[in-house]
Amino acid sequence: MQSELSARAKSLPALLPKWLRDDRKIAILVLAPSIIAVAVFIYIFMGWTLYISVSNWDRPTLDLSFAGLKNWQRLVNDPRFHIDLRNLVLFAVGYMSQCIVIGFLLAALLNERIRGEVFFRTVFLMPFAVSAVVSGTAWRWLQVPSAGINLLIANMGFENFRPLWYMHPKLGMLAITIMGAWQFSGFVMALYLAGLRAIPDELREAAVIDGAGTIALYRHVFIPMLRPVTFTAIVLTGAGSIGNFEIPSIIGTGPGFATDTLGFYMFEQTFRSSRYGLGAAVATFMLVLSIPLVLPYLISVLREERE
Amino acid sequence: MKRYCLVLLIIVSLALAACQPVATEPAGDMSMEAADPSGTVEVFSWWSGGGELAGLNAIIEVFNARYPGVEFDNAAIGGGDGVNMRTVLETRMLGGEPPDSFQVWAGVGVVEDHVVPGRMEGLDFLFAEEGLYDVFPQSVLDNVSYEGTPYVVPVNIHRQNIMWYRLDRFEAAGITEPPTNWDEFFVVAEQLKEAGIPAIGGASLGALAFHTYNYFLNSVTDGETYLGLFDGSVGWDAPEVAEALTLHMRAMEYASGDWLEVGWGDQVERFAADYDETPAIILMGDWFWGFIKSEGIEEMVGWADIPNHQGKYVWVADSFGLPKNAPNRDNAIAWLKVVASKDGQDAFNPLKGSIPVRTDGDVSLYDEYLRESMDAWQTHELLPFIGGLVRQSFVTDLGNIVNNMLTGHGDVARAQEELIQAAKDSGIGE
Repeated sequence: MQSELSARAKSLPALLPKWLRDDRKIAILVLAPSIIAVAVFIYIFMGWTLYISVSNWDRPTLDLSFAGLKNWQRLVNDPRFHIDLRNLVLFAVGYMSQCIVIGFLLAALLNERIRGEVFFRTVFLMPFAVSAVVSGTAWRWLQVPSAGINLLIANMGFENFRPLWYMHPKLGMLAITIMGAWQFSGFVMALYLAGLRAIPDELREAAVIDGAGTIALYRHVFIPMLRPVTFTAIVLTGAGSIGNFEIPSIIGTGPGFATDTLGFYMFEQTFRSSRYGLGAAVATFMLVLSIPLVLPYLISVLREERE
Repeated sequence: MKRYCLVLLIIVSLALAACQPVATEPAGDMSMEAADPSGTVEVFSWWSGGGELAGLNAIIEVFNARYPGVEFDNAAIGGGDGVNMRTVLETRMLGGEPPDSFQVWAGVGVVEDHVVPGRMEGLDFLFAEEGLYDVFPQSVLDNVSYEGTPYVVPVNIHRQNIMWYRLDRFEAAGITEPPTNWDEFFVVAEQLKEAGIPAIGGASLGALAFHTYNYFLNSVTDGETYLGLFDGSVGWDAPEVAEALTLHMRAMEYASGDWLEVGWGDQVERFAADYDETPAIILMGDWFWGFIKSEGIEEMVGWADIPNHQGKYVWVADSFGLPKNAPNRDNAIAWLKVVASKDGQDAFNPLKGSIPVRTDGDVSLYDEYLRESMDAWQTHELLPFIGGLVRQSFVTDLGNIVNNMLTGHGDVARAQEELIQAAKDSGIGE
């Protein structure tokens, strides 16, 4: 049976035309559709978006005449854009730090081979499986200043402490990071846990023999070794910060655009106001923002591969 | 090397062939209609719940009875004022795959956004064939037409400017008559405040704040100024604009303390229930009447003209159009015929809580409020609603600017500056 199969496998190349028997040619053939799809649907469309951002297309009628930097000028002068940039900084700082710190702490705890590890792992990872729309709606109710968490605080006797959460006209975005971090920390935990488990036991043992306590162990051995994981977590949470769209679409743009994001601004300009040029400028801007985030990652991946 | 190139070329051409859009069926002959229509008809609307859905289902029943061979594909996408539906529609239109028919407000919006870009078929033939020129009022015909050709078929008339109030809340504060002007309103509001009742319902509306602004704008303008703001004969630097913004801000001081924290849907739910935050007054279009009826609270609710709105009927007509290259054009025309028909409109409107556009609607089918509205439709000054007067981009901007002022900076002069800019930007008066 075994020999029969291998004989048939051997005869497979014989079935192909001569010009296809070369592995490299087969590789090109097999990869070509995805390369073309990626080229068309990602890179050509990126270029297309860039072009629209310098076109006059600001109403439903298609108008691709060249407008120079008109849309860009408008973008950088729009107060809403300035607010969105401030919001992006607030969101990125709050969201990335929470995801990474909480994710790491959870992973470190789980790595101690506690009882019920599988249970806790599932519980922590669960929010990641919940749709952002569902969790956003739930968090919105939790954070409504007149009810939700504030009611709990009031019932505990702190009646004068009534945070405004996402309704805060300046810092509302920070409240939103809690929603985001709740959703994504579990995934970061999974990343770190995988990283921790990949560290050979010998290293830990050697460090312990050398007299390292738990904190020293993490500080001098684990954290440096987990740098690639941290890198991945930064890229993922950073990209999530730039592309945030769901949350303002659920809880609204807040008082004075306090919870508005670039993504929602782009959506509203493009699809509700038919300002395709301006929308494309926002999209291009978001793309440019993500380059410094992704580029070092790509470089390090390529370098690793070469090594 | 040559062979590589050949292989790649073949792959590229295959891939490109695969990317070609599916060829659309050729549009049918203008006057010919299939004797026995079959297939499907895909209709976009934003009616997905409550009285709206009941109305839609009723008119679909009329359609099914008349065209049993056609399957009605109800592609309703919920979301206030069709914000979500319009997004999907825009994507489909741009992609060259329009639905067979879609809901839209009659007026400048549809003309600027769809007719001028050449996306719609003129419906002159349908209006002539169905005798619609005789049964639709002239003001509506003017509003659905562009350069003399009608482009959409209106199915209903909603009145946008009604003040709804809770009788028990008025009673609790010792108020016997609803306020007729804003001075009276603020007196009433103070009385309510003393009784611990929020006078007016409000919510952080985002781009939908243009609705509420419209009430204040119409309180301080005459019809001519109001229309002039949108056709460019009156500039947005007019003092009435600022007056309305100021009035709007002042009125919101009498909303419940948490008005910024709740959505409009929550506010509406509150009105139907008994909370400390339940407002005494809510300003809204008469689509709210459908909600009141579905909650069974008609006995608790009174209605009157919005302060300073006496004799004004701000109307909006939900309409349906025929996009070019509609995949099932004949069925779409069949649908439009039902939309225009007496039995279609009389099936739809009593449930939707609106009045028929046709002047020959069967009055006996409509309830007390709607009969009153039908009377007002005949006697009041008819003013199209903002959504029917100006391009969607301005409607969105107006809402965002007003909302940003109410919820954020609170600076009337700044909001007016932004409105002037937005009007320029949307080509008002060009």
